[in-house]
Amino acid sequence: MSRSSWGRTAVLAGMALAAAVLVFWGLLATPVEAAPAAAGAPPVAIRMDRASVQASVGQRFELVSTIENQSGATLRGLIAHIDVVGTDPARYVDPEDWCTARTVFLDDLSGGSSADPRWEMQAVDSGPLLVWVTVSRPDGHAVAVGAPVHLDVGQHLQVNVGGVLPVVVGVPAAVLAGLALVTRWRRSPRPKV
Amino acid sequence: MIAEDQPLIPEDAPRGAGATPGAAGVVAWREIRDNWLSGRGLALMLAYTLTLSLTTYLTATNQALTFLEQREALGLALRVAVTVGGLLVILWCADAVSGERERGTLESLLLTPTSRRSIVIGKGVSALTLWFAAYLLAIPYLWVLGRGVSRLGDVLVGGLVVGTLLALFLAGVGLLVSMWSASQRASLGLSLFLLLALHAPAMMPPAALRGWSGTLMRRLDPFTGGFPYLDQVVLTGHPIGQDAGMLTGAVVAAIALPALAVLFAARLTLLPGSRA
Repeated sequence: MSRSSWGRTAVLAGMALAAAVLVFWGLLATPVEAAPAAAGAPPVAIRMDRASVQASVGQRFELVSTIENQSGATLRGLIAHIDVVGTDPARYVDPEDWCTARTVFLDDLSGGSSADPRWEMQAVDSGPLLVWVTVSRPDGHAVAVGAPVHLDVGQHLQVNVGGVLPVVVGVPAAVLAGLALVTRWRRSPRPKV
Repeated sequence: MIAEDQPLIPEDAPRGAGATPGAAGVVAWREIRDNWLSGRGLALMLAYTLTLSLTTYLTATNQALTFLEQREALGLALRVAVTVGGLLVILWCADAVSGERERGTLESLLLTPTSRRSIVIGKGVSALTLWFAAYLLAIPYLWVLGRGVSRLGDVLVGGLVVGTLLALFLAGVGLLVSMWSASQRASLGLSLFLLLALHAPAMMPPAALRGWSGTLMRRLDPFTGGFPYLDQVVLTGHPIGQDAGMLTGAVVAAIALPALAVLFAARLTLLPGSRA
């Protein structure tokens, strides 16, 4: 391969890398759009406020979904539900631990209007996970499913125990020193004016 | 407690039930000086910092064993800092009038050429300095627990706002109880009971505070509104302005109770129930 073709390859590789980075960041930044609705499913679009979440174990966060009625008719009795699944087979995930209120019964949705159920989540274990919202009718035979939010839970933040000790000992010691000084000052003889 | 050899207020100062800013300021200054230079304020601060040290150490060391997250550790320490700070204020205010009454110094205090309202305002302001000193001492603990947590500044400001609202409310409660109590023991006992009763709903799980009764409790009880607000700031990372509506009850209580205490201060007597 000639020097000029190496240069072209390097430029192309650089552009591909840049495009990949842009796509990755775009995935992180843009809200998640709904997947096409299955036949018989409620005619709704389900969007999430984020495409991905970075969290540490124990951290609480909130996901906001937007459920939009894409039909002209009013939809009644819709049920929104959130689910969590771990993509690592070695990790056991119980969705109830991650979100204690996983079902929301929506008010009537007139044509073109939307509802914004909020989901309070807490990361209880580390690892890669997927979170998605579904919408169904009480008597439906199919379920509308939103695109999943990618959840990446890292190791939980810990307080540096060694760093705590100077404060834990130092602050009461400083107050004790102040108290001793005041007591000594009060007991010392003062000339009467 | 005011027990100095020089007159509290100049002899020609006006007397009566109403408060004058100058007289209230003089009473407050004398009370603050007495509280801190007598060593009693510092002794309370020592107990306060020891409580915070114990909480911080246990929280930090237990994190290695359990899944207590850093924000939860910070939230726990902030709750303890605010609650114990409020406890100091209510205990100090509960002693403010009934303590003087029991020690037999209230009569001489009432005979000084200053209004009853000025006396009560001065004692309330003096008690509030305990809260501000306590929070200042709590900041190193909160900082060391919250290093690396985003929005730590919001957490510190949120704690100061909620703690100050609760301190104002508790100062009002403590002063009212103290004015109407014949003995210091009764005043302290009732104040502590009220503090625990008001604090109890805030300890309930969120599910227990759903429905109209839970909403009413959150609106009326400053603790039940204030602590979930702090949770939103600390645990969820919300900016301090986002959930400010949750503090409505705390703001109303922080204005109403001290105002009631000042209003009823005009009827302050040597013995509760007797005519001024």
